[in-house]
Amino acid sequence: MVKEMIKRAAKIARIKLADGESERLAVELETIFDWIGDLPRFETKLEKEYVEPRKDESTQYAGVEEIKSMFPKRRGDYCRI
Amino acid sequence: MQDLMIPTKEILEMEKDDLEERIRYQLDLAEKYRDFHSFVYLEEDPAVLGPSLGVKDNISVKGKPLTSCSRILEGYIGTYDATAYSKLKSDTTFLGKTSCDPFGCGSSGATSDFGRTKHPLDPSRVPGGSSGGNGVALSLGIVDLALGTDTFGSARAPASFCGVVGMRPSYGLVSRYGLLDLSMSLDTITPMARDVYGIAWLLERIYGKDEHDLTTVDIKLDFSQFPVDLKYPRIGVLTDCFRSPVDERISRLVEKTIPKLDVDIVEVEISTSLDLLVKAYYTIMPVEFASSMQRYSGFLYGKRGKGTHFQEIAIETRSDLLSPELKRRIILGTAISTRELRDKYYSRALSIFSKVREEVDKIFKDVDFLISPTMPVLPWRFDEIVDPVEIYMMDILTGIPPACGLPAISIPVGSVEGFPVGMQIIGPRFGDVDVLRLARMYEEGIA
Repeated sequence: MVKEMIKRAAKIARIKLADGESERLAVELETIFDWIGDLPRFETKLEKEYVEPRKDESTQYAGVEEIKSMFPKRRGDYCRI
Repeated sequence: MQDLMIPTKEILEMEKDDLEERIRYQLDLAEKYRDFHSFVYLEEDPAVLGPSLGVKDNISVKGKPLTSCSRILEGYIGTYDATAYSKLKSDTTFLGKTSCDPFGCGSSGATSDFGRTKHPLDPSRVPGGSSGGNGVALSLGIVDLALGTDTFGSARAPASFCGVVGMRPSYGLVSRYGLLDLSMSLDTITPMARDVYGIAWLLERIYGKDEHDLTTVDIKLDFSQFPVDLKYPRIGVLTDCFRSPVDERISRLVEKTIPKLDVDIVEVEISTSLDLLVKAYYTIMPVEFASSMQRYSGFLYGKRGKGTHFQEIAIETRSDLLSPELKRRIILGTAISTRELRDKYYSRALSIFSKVREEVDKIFKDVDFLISPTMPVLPWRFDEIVDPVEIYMMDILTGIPPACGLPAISIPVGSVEGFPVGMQIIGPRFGDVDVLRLARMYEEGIA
Protein backbone atom coordinates (compact mmCIF):
# COMPACT_ATOMS: atom_id res chain seq x y z
CA MET A 1 0.00 0.00 0.00
CA VAL A 2 2.84 2.38 0.90
CA LYS A 3 4.47 1.58 -2.45
CA GLU A 4 1.29 2.55 -4.30
CA MET A 5 0.97 5.75 -2.25
CA ILE A 6 4.59 6.70 -2.96
CA LYS A 7 4.10 6.13 -6.65
CA ARG A 8 1.07 8.43 -6.65
CA ALA A 9 2.71 11.12 -4.48
CA ALA A 10 5.90 11.05 -6.58
CA LYS A 11 3.83 11.59 -9.71
CA ILE A 12 2.05 14.59 -8.17
CA ALA A 13 5.41 15.95 -6.95
CA ARG A 14 6.92 15.49 -10.43
CA ILE A 15 9.66 13.15 -9.26
CA LYS A 16 10.60 10.08 -11.21
CA LEU A 17 12.09 7.40 -8.98
CA ALA A 18 14.73 5.03 -10.25
CA ASP A 19 14.13 1.32 -9.58
CA GLY A 20 16.30 0.95 -6.48
CA GLU A 21 15.33 4.39 -5.24
CA SER A 22 11.65 3.57 -5.23
CA GLU A 23 12.17 0.43 -3.13
CA ARG A 24 14.45 2.19 -0.68
CA LEU A 25 12.01 5.06 -0.27
CA ALA A 26 9.13 2.63 0.27
CA VAL A 27 11.01 1.03 3.17
CA GLU A 28 11.97 4.42 4.65
CA LEU A 29 8.52 5.91 4.34
CA GLU A 30 6.92 2.80 5.76
CA THR A 31 9.19 3.26 8.79
CA ILE A 32 8.21 6.93 9.02
CA PHE A 33 4.49 6.13 8.77
CA ASP A 34 4.88 3.49 11.48
CA TRP A 35 6.70 6.07 13.57
CA ILE A 36 3.98 8.73 13.21
CA GLY A 37 1.34 6.01 13.55
CA ASP A 38 0.13 7.34 16.92
CA LEU A 39 -0.92 10.69 15.44
CA PRO A 40 -4.32 9.41 14.25
CA ARG A 41 -5.02 8.31 17.83
CA PHE A 42 -4.58 11.87 19.12
CA GLU A 43 -8.02 13.14 20.09
CA THR A 44 -8.63 16.67 18.91
CA LYS A 45 -10.49 19.27 20.94
CA LEU A 46 -13.44 19.11 18.56
CA GLU A 47 -13.74 15.39 19.10
CA LYS A 48 -13.50 15.72 22.86
CA GLU A 49 -15.96 18.56 23.25
CA TYR A 50 -18.98 18.05 21.02
CA VAL A 51 -19.78 21.22 19.09
CA GLU A 52 -23.21 21.73 17.55
CA PRO A 53 -22.68 22.05 13.79
CA ARG A 54 -23.62 25.45 12.42
CA LYS A 55 -26.74 25.38 10.31
CA ASP A 56 -26.44 26.50 6.74
CA GLU A 57 -26.97 30.24 6.87
CA SER A 58 -26.21 30.91 3.24
CA THR A 59 -29.84 31.39 2.24
CA GLN A 60 -30.19 34.33 4.63
CA TYR A 61 -28.16 36.50 2.35
CA ALA A 62 -29.77 38.04 -0.67
CA GLY A 63 -28.16 37.22 -3.94
CA VAL A 64 -26.26 34.19 -2.65
CA GLU A 65 -28.36 31.76 -4.66
CA GLU A 66 -27.80 33.87 -7.74
CA ILE A 67 -24.02 33.87 -7.18
CA LYS A 68 -24.07 30.14 -6.52
CA SER A 69 -25.85 29.56 -9.81
CA MET A 70 -23.06 31.41 -11.59
CA PHE A 71 -20.52 28.73 -10.69
CA PRO A 72 -20.07 25.87 -13.11
CA LYS A 73 -22.30 23.01 -12.01
CA ARG A 74 -19.51 20.65 -10.99
CA ARG A 75 -17.83 23.16 -8.74
CA GLY A 76 -21.02 23.48 -6.71
CA ASP A 77 -20.18 20.15 -5.09
CA TYR A 78 -17.31 21.51 -3.15
CA CYS A 79 -17.63 25.28 -3.36
CA ARG A 80 -19.45 26.61 -0.34
CA ILE A 81 -20.34 30.24 0.07
CA MET B 1 49.00 36.62 15.31
CA GLN B 2 45.36 37.46 15.99
CA ASP B 3 43.49 36.45 19.11
CA LEU B 4 40.42 35.24 17.30
CA MET B 5 38.36 34.43 20.36
CA ILE B 6 38.22 37.92 21.90
CA PRO B 7 34.74 39.08 23.02
CA THR B 8 32.48 40.48 20.30
CA LYS B 9 32.28 43.80 22.16
CA GLU B 10 36.04 44.28 21.68
CA ILE B 11 35.82 43.43 17.98
CA LEU B 12 33.09 46.03 17.58
CA GLU B 13 35.34 48.64 19.17
CA MET B 14 38.37 47.90 16.95
CA GLU B 15 40.05 50.57 14.84
CA LYS B 16 39.61 50.11 11.09
CA ASP B 17 43.24 49.08 10.49
CA ASP B 18 43.07 46.39 13.15
CA LEU B 19 39.79 45.17 11.77
CA GLU B 20 41.20 44.97 8.25
CA GLU B 21 44.14 42.94 9.52
CA ARG B 22 41.80 40.65 11.45
CA ILE B 23 39.64 40.02 8.42
CA ARG B 24 42.64 39.26 6.19
CA TYR B 25 43.72 36.75 8.81
CA GLN B 26 40.25 35.22 8.90
CA LEU B 27 40.26 34.83 5.10
CA ASP B 28 43.60 33.01 5.31
CA LEU B 29 42.13 30.83 8.02
CA ALA B 30 39.13 30.02 5.84
CA GLU B 31 41.57 28.83 3.18
CA LYS B 32 43.53 26.80 5.72
CA TYR B 33 40.39 25.10 7.01
CA ARG B 34 38.82 24.64 3.58
CA ASP B 35 38.40 20.90 4.18
CA PHE B 36 35.93 21.61 6.97
CA HIS B 37 33.53 22.93 4.30
CA SER B 38 32.10 25.66 6.48
CA PHE B 39 31.68 27.92 3.44
CA VAL B 40 30.16 27.29 0.03
CA TYR B 41 31.18 30.72 -1.20
CA LEU B 42 33.94 32.98 0.11
CA GLU B 43 34.50 36.64 -0.80
CA GLU B 44 37.95 37.28 -2.24
CA ASP B 45 38.28 40.93 -1.39
CA PRO B 46 35.50 41.98 0.98
CA ALA B 47 34.76 45.61 1.80
CA VAL B 48 35.64 45.96 5.49
CA LEU B 49 32.79 47.76 7.24
CA GLY B 50 32.63 45.96 10.58
CA PRO B 51 33.00 42.51 12.14
CA SER B 52 33.04 39.57 9.72
CA LEU B 53 29.68 38.02 8.91
CA GLY B 54 28.81 34.64 7.42
CA VAL B 55 25.38 34.22 5.89
CA LYS B 56 23.76 30.78 5.62
CA ASP B 57 23.31 29.79 2.02
CA ASN B 58 19.50 29.72 2.21
CA ILE B 59 19.38 33.50 2.80
CA SER B 60 19.50 35.80 -0.20
CA VAL B 61 22.31 38.32 -0.69
CA LYS B 62 22.09 40.33 -3.89
CA GLY B 63 24.69 39.33 -6.49
CA LYS B 64 26.01 36.39 -4.46
CA PRO B 65 25.42 32.65 -4.92
CA LEU B 66 22.18 31.36 -3.39
CA THR B 67 22.03 27.57 -3.62
CA SER B 68 20.69 26.43 -0.24
CA CYS B 69 23.47 23.86 -0.69
CA SER B 70 21.33 21.95 -3.19
CA ARG B 71 22.37 21.02 -6.72
CA ILE B 72 18.97 22.15 -7.98
CA LEU B 73 20.03 25.77 -7.38
CA GLU B 74 23.66 25.40 -8.45
CA GLY B 75 24.82 28.56 -10.20
CA TYR B 76 21.83 30.62 -9.04
CA ILE B 77 22.63 34.16 -7.89
CA GLY B 78 20.50 36.05 -5.36
CA THR B 79 18.61 38.94 -6.95
CA TYR B 80 17.86 40.90 -3.79
CA ASP B 81 18.97 41.25 -0.18
CA ALA B 82 17.04 39.47 2.53
CA THR B 83 15.67 42.09 4.95
CA ALA B 84 17.76 40.77 7.86
CA TYR B 85 20.94 41.00 5.82
CA SER B 86 20.06 44.42 4.39
CA LYS B 87 19.90 45.76 7.97
CA LEU B 88 23.44 44.52 8.64
CA LYS B 89 25.26 45.17 5.39
CA SER B 90 26.54 48.64 6.25
CA ASP B 91 27.89 47.60 9.68
CA THR B 92 29.47 44.23 8.91
CA THR B 93 31.94 42.67 6.51
CA PHE B 94 30.22 40.05 4.37
CA LEU B 95 32.67 37.15 4.23
CA GLY B 96 30.61 34.62 2.32
CA LYS B 97 27.84 32.05 2.26
CA THR B 98 27.99 29.27 4.84
CA SER B 99 27.22 25.63 4.35
CA CYS B 100 24.02 23.90 5.46
CA ASP B 101 21.89 20.85 4.89
CA PRO B 102 20.04 21.40 1.58
CA PHE B 103 17.10 23.77 2.18
CA GLY B 104 17.69 23.37 5.91
CA CYS B 105 16.60 19.71 5.78
CA GLY B 106 18.78 18.04 8.37
CA SER B 107 19.95 17.92 11.96
CA SER B 108 23.51 16.87 11.16
CA GLY B 109 24.62 19.94 9.20
CA ALA B 110 26.74 17.61 7.13
CA THR B 111 24.66 16.80 4.06
CA SER B 112 25.35 19.74 1.73
CA ASP B 113 25.42 18.65 -1.92
CA PHE B 114 28.73 20.52 -2.24
CA GLY B 115 30.82 18.80 0.43
CA ARG B 116 30.45 17.40 3.88
CA THR B 117 30.77 19.98 6.68
CA LYS B 118 32.89 18.65 9.54
CA HIS B 119 32.91 19.19 13.28
CA PRO B 120 35.62 21.70 14.30
CA LEU B 121 37.06 19.45 17.04
CA ASP B 122 36.78 16.11 15.28
CA PRO B 123 36.44 16.04 11.48
CA SER B 124 34.95 12.55 11.62
CA ARG B 125 31.83 13.91 13.32
CA VAL B 126 28.85 16.07 12.36
CA PRO B 127 28.73 19.76 13.34
CA GLY B 128 24.94 19.79 13.95
CA GLY B 129 22.50 21.41 11.63
CA SER B 130 21.17 22.57 9.51
CA SER B 131 23.20 25.78 10.07
CA GLY B 132 26.35 23.66 10.45
CA GLY B 133 28.62 25.95 8.42
CA ASN B 134 27.92 28.82 10.82
CA GLY B 135 28.72 26.70 13.86
CA VAL B 136 32.02 25.55 12.38
CA ALA B 137 33.07 28.97 11.02
CA LEU B 138 32.34 30.67 14.37
CA SER B 139 34.06 27.96 16.36
CA LEU B 140 37.21 28.08 14.19
CA GLY B 141 37.27 31.88 14.37
CA ILE B 142 36.74 32.35 10.61
CA VAL B 143 33.78 34.66 11.25
CA ASP B 144 32.72 36.75 14.23
CA LEU B 145 28.99 36.85 13.54
CA ALA B 146 26.59 34.82 11.45
CA LEU B 147 23.04 34.76 10.16
CA GLY B 148 21.46 31.34 10.19
CA THR B 149 17.97 29.92 10.25
CA ASP B 150 16.06 27.83 12.76
CA THR B 151 12.92 25.88 11.95
CA PHE B 152 12.94 23.17 14.65
CA GLY B 153 16.46 23.61 16.05
CA SER B 154 18.67 24.37 13.04
CA ALA B 155 20.64 27.17 14.74
CA ARG B 156 20.55 25.85 18.29
CA ALA B 157 21.82 22.37 17.35
CA PRO B 158 25.07 23.51 15.67
CA ALA B 159 25.52 26.12 18.40
CA SER B 160 25.38 23.34 20.98
CA PHE B 161 27.65 20.93 19.09
CA CYS B 162 30.25 23.56 18.15
CA GLY B 163 30.34 25.45 21.45
CA VAL B 164 28.93 28.76 20.20
CA VAL B 165 25.70 30.72 20.78
CA GLY B 166 22.61 30.54 18.57
CA MET B 167 19.25 32.13 19.18
CA ARG B 168 15.87 31.52 17.65
CA PRO B 169 13.91 34.78 18.06
CA SER B 170 10.16 34.89 18.72
CA TYR B 171 8.27 34.07 15.53
CA GLY B 172 7.39 37.36 13.85
CA LEU B 173 10.23 39.35 15.40
CA VAL B 174 12.66 39.04 12.48
CA SER B 175 11.57 39.22 8.85
CA ARG B 176 11.84 36.01 6.82
CA TYR B 177 11.89 37.94 3.56
CA GLY B 178 14.71 36.53 1.44
CA LEU B 179 14.80 33.16 3.18
CA LEU B 180 14.27 30.03 1.07
CA ASP B 181 11.43 28.26 2.89
CA LEU B 182 11.66 24.97 4.66
CA SER B 183 8.46 25.27 6.68
CA MET B 184 7.03 28.76 6.43
CA SER B 185 4.95 28.68 9.61
CA LEU B 186 7.99 27.75 11.70
CA ASP B 187 11.06 29.21 9.92
CA THR B 188 13.02 32.04 11.55
CA ILE B 189 16.21 33.88 10.60
CA THR B 190 18.55 33.59 13.54
CA PRO B 191 21.60 35.38 14.91
CA MET B 192 24.66 33.27 15.78
CA ALA B 193 27.88 34.40 17.50
CA ARG B 194 30.56 33.28 19.94
CA ASP B 195 28.96 35.15 22.85
CA VAL B 196 25.60 36.50 23.96
CA TYR B 197 26.68 40.09 23.34
CA GLY B 198 27.14 39.26 19.66
CA ILE B 199 23.62 37.81 19.50
CA ALA B 200 22.13 40.92 21.13
CA TRP B 201 24.05 43.19 18.76
CA LEU B 202 22.72 41.30 15.73
CA LEU B 203 19.17 40.97 17.01
CA GLU B 204 18.90 44.64 17.87
CA ARG B 205 19.65 45.45 14.22
CA ILE B 206 17.66 42.80 12.39
CA TYR B 207 14.36 42.75 14.30
CA GLY B 208 11.29 44.75 13.35
CA LYS B 209 8.23 45.01 11.18
CA ASP B 210 8.77 44.41 7.49
CA GLU B 211 6.18 45.09 4.82
CA HIS B 212 7.61 42.17 2.81
CA ASP B 213 6.76 39.67 5.55
CA LEU B 214 3.23 39.94 6.87
CA THR B 215 3.99 37.70 9.84
CA THR B 216 6.33 40.30 11.35
CA VAL B 217 4.98 42.32 14.25
CA ASP B 218 5.36 45.96 15.10
CA ILE B 219 6.94 45.77 18.53
CA LYS B 220 9.62 47.79 20.29
CA LEU B 221 12.15 45.88 22.34
CA ASP B 222 14.57 47.70 24.60
CA PHE B 223 18.02 46.24 24.07
CA SER B 224 19.55 48.99 26.21
CA GLN B 225 18.20 46.93 29.13
CA PHE B 226 20.44 44.09 28.06
CA PRO B 227 23.30 44.58 30.56
CA VAL B 228 20.86 44.77 33.51
CA ASP B 229 20.68 41.58 35.54
CA LEU B 230 17.43 39.82 36.40
CA LYS B 231 16.45 39.32 40.05
CA TYR B 232 15.58 35.78 41.20
CA PRO B 233 14.16 34.51 37.92
CA ARG B 234 11.80 31.56 38.23
CA ILE B 235 13.18 28.72 36.15
CA GLY B 236 10.93 25.94 34.94
CA VAL B 237 12.75 22.68 34.45
CA LEU B 238 10.89 20.42 32.04
CA THR B 239 11.55 17.03 33.59
CA ASP B 240 10.97 15.19 30.29
CA CYS B 241 13.92 17.02 28.75
CA PHE B 242 16.34 15.44 31.22
CA ARG B 243 15.21 11.83 30.84
CA SER B 244 16.09 9.14 28.32
CA PRO B 245 16.82 9.35 25.37
CA VAL B 246 18.92 12.28 26.61
CA ASP B 247 22.53 11.31 27.42
CA GLU B 248 22.74 11.24 31.23
CA ARG B 249 26.07 13.07 31.24
CA ILE B 250 24.49 15.96 29.32
CA SER B 251 21.49 16.07 31.69
CA ARG B 252 23.74 16.09 34.74
CA LEU B 253 25.90 18.92 33.36
CA VAL B 254 22.88 21.13 32.67
CA GLU B 255 21.27 20.23 36.02
CA LYS B 256 24.47 21.32 37.75
CA THR B 257 24.59 24.58 35.79
CA ILE B 258 21.07 25.86 36.52
CA PRO B 259 21.59 26.57 40.26
CA LYS B 260 24.87 28.43 39.62
CA LEU B 261 22.77 31.62 39.63
CA ASP B 262 20.41 32.80 42.30
CA VAL B 263 17.24 31.36 40.78
CA ASP B 264 13.99 29.72 41.87
CA ILE B 265 13.71 26.30 40.31
CA VAL B 266 10.33 24.72 39.64
CA GLU B 267 9.86 21.29 38.08
CA VAL B 268 7.24 21.41 35.33
CA GLU B 269 5.67 18.90 32.98
CA ILE B 270 3.52 18.88 29.89
CA SER B 271 1.12 16.05 29.21
CA THR B 272 1.91 15.87 25.49
CA SER B 273 5.07 13.85 25.02
CA LEU B 274 8.04 15.50 23.33
CA ASP B 275 8.22 12.48 21.11
CA LEU B 276 4.70 13.19 19.80
CA LEU B 277 5.67 16.81 19.20
CA VAL B 278 8.56 15.73 16.95
CA LYS B 279 6.22 13.43 15.04
CA ALA B 280 3.77 16.30 14.57
CA TYR B 281 6.61 18.42 13.19
CA TYR B 282 7.65 15.73 10.73
CA THR B 283 4.04 15.77 9.52
CA ILE B 284 3.50 19.54 9.23
CA MET B 285 6.94 20.44 7.84
CA PRO B 286 6.92 18.02 4.86
CA VAL B 287 3.49 19.33 3.81
CA GLU B 288 4.72 22.94 3.83
CA PHE B 289 8.03 21.93 2.28
CA ALA B 290 6.45 19.95 -0.57
CA SER B 291 4.31 22.97 -1.35
CA SER B 292 7.15 25.51 -1.38
CA MET B 293 9.42 23.19 -3.41
CA GLN B 294 6.95 23.05 -6.29
CA ARG B 295 8.58 26.19 -7.69
CA TYR B 296 11.87 24.41 -8.42
CA SER B 297 11.15 22.96 -11.80
CA GLY B 298 14.13 24.19 -13.82
CA PHE B 299 12.37 27.23 -15.24
CA LEU B 300 12.47 30.08 -12.76
CA TYR B 301 15.52 29.22 -10.69
CA GLY B 302 18.74 27.25 -10.89
CA LYS B 303 19.66 24.37 -13.12
CA ARG B 304 17.47 22.85 -15.80
CA GLY B 305 17.21 19.17 -16.71
CA LYS B 306 16.83 17.78 -20.22
CA GLY B 307 13.52 17.52 -22.00
CA THR B 308 11.37 18.88 -24.79
CA HIS B 309 8.35 20.20 -22.92
CA PHE B 310 7.55 21.71 -19.53
CA GLN B 311 6.43 18.58 -17.70
CA GLU B 312 9.34 16.51 -18.98
CA ILE B 313 11.89 19.19 -18.06
CA ALA B 314 10.38 19.64 -14.59
CA ILE B 315 10.43 15.89 -13.90
CA GLU B 316 14.00 15.51 -15.17
CA THR B 317 15.22 18.51 -13.17
CA ARG B 318 13.63 17.45 -9.92
CA SER B 319 14.42 13.75 -10.23
CA ASP B 320 18.06 14.33 -11.04
CA LEU B 321 18.94 17.27 -8.80
CA LEU B 322 17.03 16.81 -5.54
CA SER B 323 18.93 14.91 -2.83
CA PRO B 324 17.43 11.73 -1.30
CA GLU B 325 16.38 13.56 1.89
CA LEU B 326 14.62 16.30 -0.11
CA LYS B 327 12.77 13.70 -2.19
CA ARG B 328 11.81 11.83 0.98
CA ARG B 329 10.32 14.95 2.56
CA ILE B 330 8.58 16.12 -0.61
CA ILE B 331 6.98 12.74 -1.25
CA LEU B 332 6.01 12.33 2.40
CA GLY B 333 4.48 15.83 2.42
CA THR B 334 2.64 15.25 -0.83
CA ALA B 335 1.24 11.95 0.48
CA ILE B 336 0.11 13.53 3.76
CA SER B 337 -1.61 16.34 1.82
CA THR B 338 -3.87 13.92 -0.01
CA ARG B 339 -7.53 13.72 0.99
CA GLU B 340 -7.13 10.22 2.45
CA LEU B 341 -4.35 11.15 4.87
CA ARG B 342 -4.91 14.85 5.57
CA ASP B 343 -7.30 14.39 8.50
CA LYS B 344 -5.55 11.32 9.77
CA TYR B 345 -2.15 12.99 10.10
CA TYR B 346 -1.96 16.67 9.19
CA SER B 347 -4.99 17.92 11.16
CA ARG B 348 -3.91 15.85 14.17
CA ALA B 349 -0.41 17.28 13.99
CA LEU B 350 -1.81 20.81 14.02
CA SER B 351 -3.94 19.92 17.04
CA ILE B 352 -0.88 18.59 18.85
CA PHE B 353 0.91 21.90 18.28
CA SER B 354 -2.16 23.79 19.61
CA LYS B 355 -2.33 21.61 22.69
CA VAL B 356 1.36 22.11 23.45
CA ARG B 357 0.90 25.87 22.99
CA GLU B 358 -1.96 25.91 25.50
CA GLU B 359 0.04 23.92 28.03
CA VAL B 360 3.20 25.98 27.65
CA ASP B 361 1.21 29.24 27.93
CA LYS B 362 -0.10 27.99 31.27
CA ILE B 363 3.40 27.05 32.44
CA PHE B 364 4.64 30.57 31.65
CA LYS B 365 2.10 31.96 34.13
CA ASP B 366 4.19 30.35 36.88
CA VAL B 367 7.73 30.61 35.56
CA ASP B 368 9.84 33.17 33.69
CA PHE B 369 11.96 30.73 31.68
CA LEU B 370 12.21 27.09 30.75
CA ILE B 371 15.63 25.47 30.71
CA SER B 372 16.80 22.18 29.22
CA PRO B 373 19.78 20.71 27.40
CA THR B 374 19.79 21.73 23.72
CA MET B 375 20.75 18.39 22.17
CA PRO B 376 20.13 14.91 23.57
CA VAL B 377 23.48 13.48 22.42
CA LEU B 378 27.07 14.45 21.62
CA PRO B 379 28.02 15.07 17.96
CA TRP B 380 27.80 11.70 16.24
CA ARG B 381 30.23 10.17 13.73
CA PHE B 382 29.35 10.30 10.04
CA ASP B 383 27.50 7.13 9.11
CA GLU B 384 27.01 6.28 12.79
CA ILE B 385 23.37 7.32 12.50
CA VAL B 386 21.79 6.90 9.07
CA ASP B 387 18.21 5.92 9.88
CA PRO B 388 16.00 8.97 9.06
CA VAL B 389 13.75 8.48 12.10
CA GLU B 390 16.73 8.26 14.44
CA ILE B 391 18.06 11.53 12.99
CA TYR B 392 14.62 13.19 13.21
CA MET B 393 14.51 12.32 16.92
CA MET B 394 17.59 14.48 17.49
CA ASP B 395 15.14 17.44 17.41
CA ILE B 396 13.36 16.19 20.52
CA LEU B 397 14.53 19.02 22.82
CA THR B 398 14.35 21.93 20.41
CA GLY B 399 10.68 21.56 19.36
CA ILE B 400 8.75 23.52 21.98
CA PRO B 401 9.93 27.03 20.92
CA PRO B 402 8.98 26.67 17.23
CA ALA B 403 5.69 24.94 18.04
CA CYS B 404 4.79 27.86 20.34
CA GLY B 405 6.54 30.74 18.51
CA LEU B 406 8.85 31.34 21.51
CA PRO B 407 12.39 32.71 21.71
CA ALA B 408 15.13 30.24 22.68
CA ILE B 409 18.89 30.46 22.95
CA SER B 410 21.59 27.80 23.22
CA ILE B 411 24.71 28.70 25.19
CA PRO B 412 27.74 26.51 25.89
CA VAL B 413 27.90 25.34 29.51
CA GLY B 414 30.75 22.84 29.55
CA SER B 415 31.86 19.68 27.83
CA VAL B 416 31.47 15.92 27.87
CA GLU B 417 34.23 13.77 26.36
CA GLY B 418 35.80 17.02 25.17
CA PHE B 419 32.73 18.02 23.11
CA PRO B 420 30.81 21.19 23.95
CA VAL B 421 27.36 20.91 25.52
CA GLY B 422 24.67 23.55 25.05
CA MET B 423 21.98 24.64 27.48
CA GLN B 424 18.71 25.94 26.08
CA ILE B 425 16.86 28.87 27.65
CA ILE B 426 13.29 29.41 26.45
CA GLY B 427 11.33 32.59 27.20
CA PRO B 428 7.73 33.71 26.72
CA ARG B 429 6.76 35.18 23.34
CA PHE B 430 8.64 38.44 22.71
CA GLY B 431 10.58 37.93 25.93
CA ASP B 432 13.70 37.90 23.74
CA VAL B 433 15.54 40.59 25.69
CA ASP B 434 15.06 38.75 29.00
CA VAL B 435 16.28 35.51 27.41
CA LEU B 436 19.44 37.36 26.39
CA ARG B 437 19.83 38.84 29.87
CA LEU B 438 19.59 35.45 31.58
CA ALA B 439 21.89 33.87 28.97
CA ARG B 440 24.49 36.56 29.62
CA MET B 441 24.21 36.04 33.39
CA TYR B 442 24.91 32.32 32.90
CA GLU B 443 27.71 33.09 30.46
CA GLU B 444 29.40 35.26 33.09
CA GLY B 445 28.49 32.97 35.98
CA ILE B 446 30.07 29.96 34.30
CA ALA B 447 33.18 31.74 33.02
